[in-house]
Amino acid sequence: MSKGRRWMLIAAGAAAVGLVTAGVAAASFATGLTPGNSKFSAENIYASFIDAQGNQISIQASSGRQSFRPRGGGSLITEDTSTVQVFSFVASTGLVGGGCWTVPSSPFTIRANDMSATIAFDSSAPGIAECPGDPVNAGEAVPSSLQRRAFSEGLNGRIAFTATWTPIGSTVQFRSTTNTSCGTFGAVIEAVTMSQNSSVATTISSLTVEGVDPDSGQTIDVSLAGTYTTDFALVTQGSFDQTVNGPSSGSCGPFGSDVP
Amino acid sequence: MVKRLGVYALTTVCAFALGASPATVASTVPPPYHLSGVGSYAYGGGYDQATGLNADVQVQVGTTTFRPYQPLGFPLTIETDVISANFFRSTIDDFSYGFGCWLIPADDYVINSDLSATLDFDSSDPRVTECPGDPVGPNGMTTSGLVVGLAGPVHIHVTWTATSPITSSRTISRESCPPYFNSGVGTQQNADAIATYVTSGAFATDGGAFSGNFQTVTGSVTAFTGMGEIKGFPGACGPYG
Repeated sequence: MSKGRRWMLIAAGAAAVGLVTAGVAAASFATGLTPGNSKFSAENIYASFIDAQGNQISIQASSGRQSFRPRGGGSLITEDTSTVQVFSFVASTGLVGGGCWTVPSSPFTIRANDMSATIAFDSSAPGIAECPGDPVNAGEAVPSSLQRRAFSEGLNGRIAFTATWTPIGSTVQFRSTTNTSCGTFGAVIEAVTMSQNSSVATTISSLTVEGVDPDSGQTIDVSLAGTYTTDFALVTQGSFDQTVNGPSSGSCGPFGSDVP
Repeated sequence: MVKRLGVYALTTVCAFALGASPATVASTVPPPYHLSGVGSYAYGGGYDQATGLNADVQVQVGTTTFRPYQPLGFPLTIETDVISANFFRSTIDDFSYGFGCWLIPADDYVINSDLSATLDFDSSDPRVTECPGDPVGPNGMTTSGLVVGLAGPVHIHVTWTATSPITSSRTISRESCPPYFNSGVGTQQNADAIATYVTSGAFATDGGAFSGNFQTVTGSVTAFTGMGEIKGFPGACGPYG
């Protein structure tokens, strides 16, 4: 077996166990277990760009059932919505800028036949608002893997970009059945997720990072507008069917226990 | 009984001797391969009214994939303990912000069978290193792997105490990307938790030193296990090739 193939297997194996362990329960118990049946879906696109100067830009957009961890505490906020997150880092100054926005209608589309995708986003468009908290990874019942902080700061002006995802390699299908119990409540969740590696080309028409230059002590603006490409990108789609059984009153579980 | 769940390595089971590395197995034995692992995750975030400091920390033990900072760098998937911490303080005269991601020694973080946990982190510990890239998950970005806006040693001591009933889950899964297949079984236990913080450090900006001693409003602790059987070779299957 070649060294490269061996490493590929090791990485895939580790990632596979990681998927099982870190994303073990793909459902939406964000408000605790309450009886009933629900079906929902979630879509996600992601790309990470690094240019020759070491500047970094990450773009992620999600659509479907999502949860937010409110700033200042309180129960998770769960709703069907679309979000766009951008994170940027200017290597020469160490400045960072980022934001998270909710969008009234999904700004991206995924073609079902090949899982290619496109997005057009402008943070100044009508109806766009800051996220109500830090988004918990879409499609995960409980935050069992690292979560991104949705700080909206370090940016000056609007964020606007378009991007296209082109599939690389084969689509991965992930099917799971999760049985969950909490007190006298029980649940079964059937999940099907498709994941597609991709290459992405983006044109960023407006993205300006603002902060204090550590050398001069002055506030500076750095524009990262331009075109970027990457092969570090994903398109994922998931569908979920969840049935919860238990007492007709109360709930049980993280973020909402009220056991009768 | 206190049970240390966080110290482990990917080990082979079934036909292979416990503790043999996947690399060793892969070089001598054809598929299928059997892998298993355990891990955990803890989060706590809150605010110190006395000092005005907002802080949150996440700890993840288990398999983590990092997106390196080289334009053509390959993803790095390792078994490790990771913490990601955010700090900010806003006053009339000052807004300071900093965050960091580090790989920490296994003995910095302990989770118990009742899902109580403790973290004792000192960024000046020579065994601590900055994250080798951005941690990424099944859906893409998770948190930044950078250390930005912080100066000098950062100390974080957190204790988590479960406050909700424990939710237990068992997942049977099958991942397919012919001719590659992975069948897995995972378990997870999760509970809400109160996190008690004692932390100190310094912002790189004019904000200078910070400190906090408070109890968080939100927090959670999760422990999980996973076991998988792999058949075939992944080729260009994802995530991240």
